[in-house]
Amino acid sequence: MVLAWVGILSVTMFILLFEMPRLVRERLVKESIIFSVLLLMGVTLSVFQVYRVSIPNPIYWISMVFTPISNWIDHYLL
Amino acid sequence: MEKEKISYTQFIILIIMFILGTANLITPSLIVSQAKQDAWLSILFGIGIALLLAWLYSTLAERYKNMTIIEYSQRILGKWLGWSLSFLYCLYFLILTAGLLHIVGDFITTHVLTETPFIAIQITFIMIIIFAVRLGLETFARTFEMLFPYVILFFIVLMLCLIPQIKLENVLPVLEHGVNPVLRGTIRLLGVPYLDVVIFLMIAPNVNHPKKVRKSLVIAILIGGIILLLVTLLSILVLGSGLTSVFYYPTYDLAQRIDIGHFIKRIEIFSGGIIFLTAFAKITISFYALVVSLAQTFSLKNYQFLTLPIGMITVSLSLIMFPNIVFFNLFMMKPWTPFMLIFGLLFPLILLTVDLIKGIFLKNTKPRGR
Repeated sequence: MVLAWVGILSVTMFILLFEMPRLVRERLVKESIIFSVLLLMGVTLSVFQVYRVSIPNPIYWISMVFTPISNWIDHYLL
Repeated sequence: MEKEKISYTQFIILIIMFILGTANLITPSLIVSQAKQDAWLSILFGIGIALLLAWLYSTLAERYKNMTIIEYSQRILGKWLGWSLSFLYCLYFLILTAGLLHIVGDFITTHVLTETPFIAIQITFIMIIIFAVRLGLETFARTFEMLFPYVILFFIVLMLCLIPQIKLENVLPVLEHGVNPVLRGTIRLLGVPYLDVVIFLMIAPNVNHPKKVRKSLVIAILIGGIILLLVTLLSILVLGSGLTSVFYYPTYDLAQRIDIGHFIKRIEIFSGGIIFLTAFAKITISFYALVVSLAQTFSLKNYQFLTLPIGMITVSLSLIMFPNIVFFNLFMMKPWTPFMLIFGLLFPLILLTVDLIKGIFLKNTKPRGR
């Protein structure tokens, strides 16, 4: 657990230190905001992985919508 | 964002590598599980339909020579509708990248590095891909141009080495249950490599001869289809349709069967190497499309700074979205093709129709791009 935290934090720090200075230097405000949001999402998802938090899976929704269509194609069209 | 230019040959090679990326992984078993020993027929049908798709994509690409699908969807459909379409494409590229990363991780953990944790492989793989995408389209297109002869050489060697093991009775009887299973196989084939070719609408504006996009799509779909046909036919001929539908990585299992005079054998890791290469190509292309489409949807200055955080998200999502290989299998088998029909056929068709109608009504106002 501790190791996972150390890993996630060090990766995040690395990404921040690697990208942020250039974005700040060139005063790219929108880019910095999107970068931070994406990085925050990445960190959150990784932490969820560590604690095995189950979050809603979009693939399930896609399957729920499209599996009947696929069955319909298989049974009736062909 | 300045446009990088790739040549026409590099574009063909990118498409072929993209088609081969899953052709030697999951496609043969998906088709064979439906069409049994007639899978080669469904691939022939599939190539025919894919050529129609190539016509659709290249018509779109030729109407807007300097723009990606993200840019012209906003121009054609207007700001909000176009923006939502672009965002949906970003999500689709994300799902594609995560799924491909899952296949590679699963292949390596089940066949090559059996004791290594899944996530370690995925992280190393995505690091290479991030590196490639940061260096830009030109660089990785040249890399694949360099690696492509080895891939082709490998396929030729594989086929030659397996000729002694071919049992012709494995393809008989032809059309045992009529045409329907063959068409079901074709549907799977369209979903796994061919409708995904819509991703090249992100790369088509970077080709330095826009006139040749149509020709290169056709050539690449034919060559990729022929290699896919040969791999599938070979795995049916050597392994039989039952075993092919069970094995998930047929080129690897085929290479295990190579045995020339009890002397040349156990060379399957070469096959593993080729699978890494083609899968690397495929994931790099889809990751590039993901990053570039996000950058264009939010109209950002460049895309390089997005690669690291999106790589982090992709690794976590490929574990969250696809908890195990059985789920992944089912997802590829059933909902994937209808899902892909929306992104690969419906949306491009809508874009093309709306653009044609607009072209008729706004004839005197010079509607389309540069």
